[in-house]
Amino acid sequence: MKVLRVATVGNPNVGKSSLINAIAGSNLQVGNWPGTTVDRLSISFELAGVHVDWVDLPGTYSLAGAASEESITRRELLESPPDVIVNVVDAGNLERNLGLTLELSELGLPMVVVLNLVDEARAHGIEVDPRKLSDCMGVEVVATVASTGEGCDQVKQSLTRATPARLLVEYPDNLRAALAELGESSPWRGLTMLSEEVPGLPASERARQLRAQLELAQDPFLSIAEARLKMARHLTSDVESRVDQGVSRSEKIDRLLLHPWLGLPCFLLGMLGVFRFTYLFSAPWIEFLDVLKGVLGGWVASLNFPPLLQSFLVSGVIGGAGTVAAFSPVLFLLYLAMAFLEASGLLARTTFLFDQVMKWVGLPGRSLIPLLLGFGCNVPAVYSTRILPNLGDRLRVSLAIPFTACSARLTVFVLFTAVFFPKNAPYVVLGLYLLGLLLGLGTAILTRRYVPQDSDRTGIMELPPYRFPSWKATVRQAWLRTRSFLKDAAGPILGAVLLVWFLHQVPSGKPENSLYAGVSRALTVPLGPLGIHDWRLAGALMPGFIAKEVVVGTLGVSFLGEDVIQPCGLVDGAQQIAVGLGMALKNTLLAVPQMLGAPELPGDESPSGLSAAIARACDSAGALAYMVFLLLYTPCVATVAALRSEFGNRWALFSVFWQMGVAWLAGWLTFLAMNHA
Amino acid sequence: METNRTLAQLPLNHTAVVESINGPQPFVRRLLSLGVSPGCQVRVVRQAPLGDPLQVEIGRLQLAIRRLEAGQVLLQTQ
Repeated sequence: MKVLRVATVGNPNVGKSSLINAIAGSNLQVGNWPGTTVDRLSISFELAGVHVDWVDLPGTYSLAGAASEESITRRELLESPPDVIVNVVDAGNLERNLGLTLELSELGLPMVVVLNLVDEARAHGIEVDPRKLSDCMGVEVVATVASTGEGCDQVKQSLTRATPARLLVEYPDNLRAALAELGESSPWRGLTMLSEEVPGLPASERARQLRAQLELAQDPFLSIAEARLKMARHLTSDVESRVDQGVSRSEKIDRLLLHPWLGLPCFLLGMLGVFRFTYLFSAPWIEFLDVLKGVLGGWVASLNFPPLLQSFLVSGVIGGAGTVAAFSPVLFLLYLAMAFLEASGLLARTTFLFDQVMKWVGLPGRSLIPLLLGFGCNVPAVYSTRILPNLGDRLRVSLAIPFTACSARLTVFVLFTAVFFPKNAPYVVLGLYLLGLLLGLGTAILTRRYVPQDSDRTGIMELPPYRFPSWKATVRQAWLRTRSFLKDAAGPILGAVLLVWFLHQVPSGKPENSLYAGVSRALTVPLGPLGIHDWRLAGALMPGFIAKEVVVGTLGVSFLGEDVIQPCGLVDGAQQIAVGLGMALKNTLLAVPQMLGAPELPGDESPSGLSAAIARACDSAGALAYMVFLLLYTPCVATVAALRSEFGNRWALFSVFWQMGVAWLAGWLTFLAMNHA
Repeated sequence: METNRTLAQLPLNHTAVVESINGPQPFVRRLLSLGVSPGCQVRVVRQAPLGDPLQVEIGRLQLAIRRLEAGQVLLQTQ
């Protein structure tokens, strides 16, 4: 069958991903561009006997330049030119978008122009005539509203009819002469060689001479860009008509959100909303996963396996899988919030608000978002650093993130503060949060010189108009990211759970004599100066490395003994699952009105009797040191996996050891200070 | 000789026309690829609550640009 290779190219924020989502149905595939973390969306489908392979290239303003998006797009167009370019343009921002369109038409490839967001343009009083634009350019122009799917079928149909553009930019005589002399296969290749050196397109000796000659009059890059912009301006005035609509909707929203003194409170309220949303809507599902885990364990117990095998299946395999699964509700919801922030235009505003604050840490304003997301869960926070264009900045923020107290650590703080600091619990917890944030920022400052910096660090950024993102695309993006986490982290988490299980079992007999207790006792040696002498406290830090959610549970088992697993029958278990599912659905619905309530510390849900046991295990100085150590000591396995996949082994290891050192020192100082106070 | 005003010196809500863009090449090229070139009309919409950066309107495009960088954009004298 004939294969048609298609690539979408366009400015950022013009709805390229919405378009491919609308056309994809269920065929959308998401990966990364080789050697980068930039999303690679692709689809393939059959169309009138032709097999279409369609890839969405990263949003870019031009094909020149060194930013990763630009070089990916350029490399793809140069090295494997598509059969058809689908150029998506924003109908409300035609002039700027046509600059890229004109550049693309110089590639000489068949092209279709998709005039997207026509509804939004109309709301701003801008009307673009697609037929006129088509006549001027000599390519097919399709008007669409990708978020609703309007016009997407015509885009599909137009693919097989696509032709190269007729209209080409008129350049000054000296450039035209140089271009003719070079005789490259497309005007774009010649012009690029005349203006700069780009990877993958080495300029010939003659091109360099000609460039030097041209530079005597004016930087050829400038002349080319100006000629294109001039053409875009003319073209726009020919095909566009506009009625002034006064203040735009985006400007009205900006007047509130970027207000000199209402802007910052609005942002804080919004961030609080994100966490509340995540907490309220994830809790019912984490509870449900717990029920599921209990029933699966019960079913295994009813099969009368030998005790060791039963323990392996229940505590090791089901327990491990449960730990992995317990991440997904929080992760999915935080990813959902992230995708919404990104697509709605709010993220760019955050950068605008906090550029000045983050400057003293030497980071761009939007790095505040991943840092704050870390308070929810460190894992999506590390992945969300992808919103930062600069690799060095991404790494520094990612090293800071694991210091921020994620919601899992809060469960331990709630238990310990209730026992040791009942009167001051909220202040102790707040103090721990601030300590984490400060040490994280400190890490970002300290690592500044050891991390590679990109040369292109302009603070220029577009503030795109506000848009309500398409639910389908947002949910799909969040789900795909959650799935890729489950794929990455399931192995390490499961492996670590099985290791801890093994340590508990060997040698068989009393738990106090197990290998786990032995290793835990050894851990009390380095932790002694922090006032932690009880092996059960020290030991819980090992499973805490897997996921900080399991610390309280482990303490429960070590102090109070293992829960006896109740066998349950097939029907009985199924019933429990059904009831659990019903509860989860009900509580999800109930969470909607709760979104408006005030946030509060979650209640202590640890097993009864644990508080009393812990109160005997250490004093308040040791307890505070323990909390400080637990706050800082290491990213969990899932976060380490995230760091590794984003930055490689070296930085993942650095993060583990650096935090270990900082945690020990901070814990020790805490213990000293508490004893002198 | 009167020196040109820069974009950083343009008062809020005033409109002016870009005369030239100075500064390092990546900066100039970034603005060009966004469609900002000599001859464009610019308006400072607002400054961030903490004073920097500025929000600048060029056509229908809204840009955030730091004061330091806005100082490299020279404006035509009226």
